[in-house]
Amino acid sequence: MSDNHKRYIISVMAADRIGIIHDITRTISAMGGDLADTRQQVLQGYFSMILYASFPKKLSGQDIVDALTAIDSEHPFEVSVKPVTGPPDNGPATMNSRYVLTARGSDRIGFVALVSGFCADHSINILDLSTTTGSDDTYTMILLVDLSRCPPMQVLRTHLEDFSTENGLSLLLQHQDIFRATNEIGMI
Amino acid sequence: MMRSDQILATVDMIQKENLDVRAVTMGIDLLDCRSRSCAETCRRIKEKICLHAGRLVPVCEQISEKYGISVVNKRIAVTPVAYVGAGFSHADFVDIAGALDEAASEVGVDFLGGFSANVENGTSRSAATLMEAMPDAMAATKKVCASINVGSSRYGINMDAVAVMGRVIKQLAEDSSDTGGFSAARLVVFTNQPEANPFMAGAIHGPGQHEVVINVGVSGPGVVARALERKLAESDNTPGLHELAEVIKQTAFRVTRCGELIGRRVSSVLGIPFGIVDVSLAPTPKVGDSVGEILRIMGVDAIGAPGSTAIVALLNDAVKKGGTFASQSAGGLSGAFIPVCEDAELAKAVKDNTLPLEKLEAMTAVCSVGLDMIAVPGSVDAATIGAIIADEMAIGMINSKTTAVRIIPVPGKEAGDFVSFGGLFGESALLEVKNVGRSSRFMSFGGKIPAPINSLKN
Repeated sequence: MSDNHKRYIISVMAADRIGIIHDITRTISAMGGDLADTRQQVLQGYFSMILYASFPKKLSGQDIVDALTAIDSEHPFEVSVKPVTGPPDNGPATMNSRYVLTARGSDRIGFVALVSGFCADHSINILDLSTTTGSDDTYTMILLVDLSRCPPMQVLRTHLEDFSTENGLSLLLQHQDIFRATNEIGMI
Repeated sequence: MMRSDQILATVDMIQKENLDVRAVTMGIDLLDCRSRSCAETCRRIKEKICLHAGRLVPVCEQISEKYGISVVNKRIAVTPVAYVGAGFSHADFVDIAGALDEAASEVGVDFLGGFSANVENGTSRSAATLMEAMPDAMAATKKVCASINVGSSRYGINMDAVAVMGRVIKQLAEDSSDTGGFSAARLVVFTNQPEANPFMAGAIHGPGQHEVVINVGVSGPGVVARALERKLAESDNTPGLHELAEVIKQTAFRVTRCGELIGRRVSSVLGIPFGIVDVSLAPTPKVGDSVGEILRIMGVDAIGAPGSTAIVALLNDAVKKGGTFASQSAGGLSGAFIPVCEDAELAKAVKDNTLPLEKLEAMTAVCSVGLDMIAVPGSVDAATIGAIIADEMAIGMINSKTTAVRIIPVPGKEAGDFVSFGGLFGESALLEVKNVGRSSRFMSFGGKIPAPINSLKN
């Protein structure tokens, strides 16, 4: 993007309804905003979206907030805008260090904190996280993680095993390629 | 990010259903190791194996750790020794076997296959010497596996060689009576032996292959069994067999893809070309990792009951269909194995007397790979063993498929007695052989069974 633009991360939360993405993206493009990347989720009827976009320099972060908030005057969106400085982060250079960590156990308060604590202690970077509660009161966490800054695999696996035993959890750390191999038909 | 249900299905395959890679086998061409003297040939063989396979075990372990999928066996297959040792004496062949055994130990693989010869259309002098040296070679080694290809759909069956193998098998078993005749479990007699096959004891690195290559054998009976159970539990109406075949096919796809992934990563780290994935459902004695169990899930209450052959046919075909789509290069034996001792449910069926030798033989007509790991009484004579081999070879020859016999006449034991070989070789009751001693006249003819006609198929 040229020097005449500034990059922002925008977070939008609102009660979910039809047309919400169209409203947000239409507003952004009307302001001259160029979308680079987005993530969107709906949970329990609430819509949440995070966008990475660049805007003409003459616009401030507050201009973007105002435009997006004005979309729905009856139920205003909760909007937060942060400028991005430094070079663009394209994620880890290699997919080689991407793993899927699954954690299963009986539902309890602090489950996610417990597992994410283990990740933090071992320099495991969580790239994506989803959780579900099963009908049998089993809580499942699925984490896409980057292990490029981790201790050696042998050490990590031993620690993971100890952690599983201590906390009565079933944890499995598998390379992302295994899931691609078993669920996709592309070349491996 | 992939869908959660897909991720969890894969996690279950690994955590609960015994998904692993059964064998990574390095094929090594040994023809350039030949020298004028046997001692120098042995030296070169050891040197070459250690050069190429020195990193095989650590690399398999490293890849296994990285991907979280275990590689159960690391093995080597070499050029059939009858080619390498042509012109050498009986004692020289035993020395070559010794060199192979030392090399296998040095690089840390569990088995090395290739003490082998192809005699499908006649026995060369070197093949005859190798077969004759086999009892001594096997007695002198622990890790070397032997195989003889006695027939093919193209040339027919070399019955003189079949008779020799009947005697060799008896000798191997008697020489290793302290281990229940285990040496015989390191020998397979084939028809239509594949020349790139990662599974022991029949692995060889035949002519027409790369200089060095990585082949992979997958596993997965447990994964297939659990997938079928889930399908039956989830279905409101009883599914048709075609639907169960579809489940098997999809599961074979997943299992094969894992094998191919691991194999290709090992080959890439070692800088050695990737050869084939053997898409076989290879059971282990572990509970829940059995082909026999699949038969029970698919509707026969006793393995060997009428319907068993039809189920094996369906299973074998579905595995091939899923596996060939999954792999860029499926090969080897590729089917469902029914090795009795190595499969807890099949072994139990023999103990319970529901799976006689004759039914097992019928099942091998529609699956891979033959009468595999069957223990029979030590009193069964060499000619009868030869005739059992001849029957199985005929099935392979006529049907243009690989068939094999790995039979252990357990010294001093009778039908119904129990034998245990330990580890992945498992245990079983001894199968009853009917009409022992009544095939001697047939076997004494020798000569060849001519190759079959390729038209008028009925």
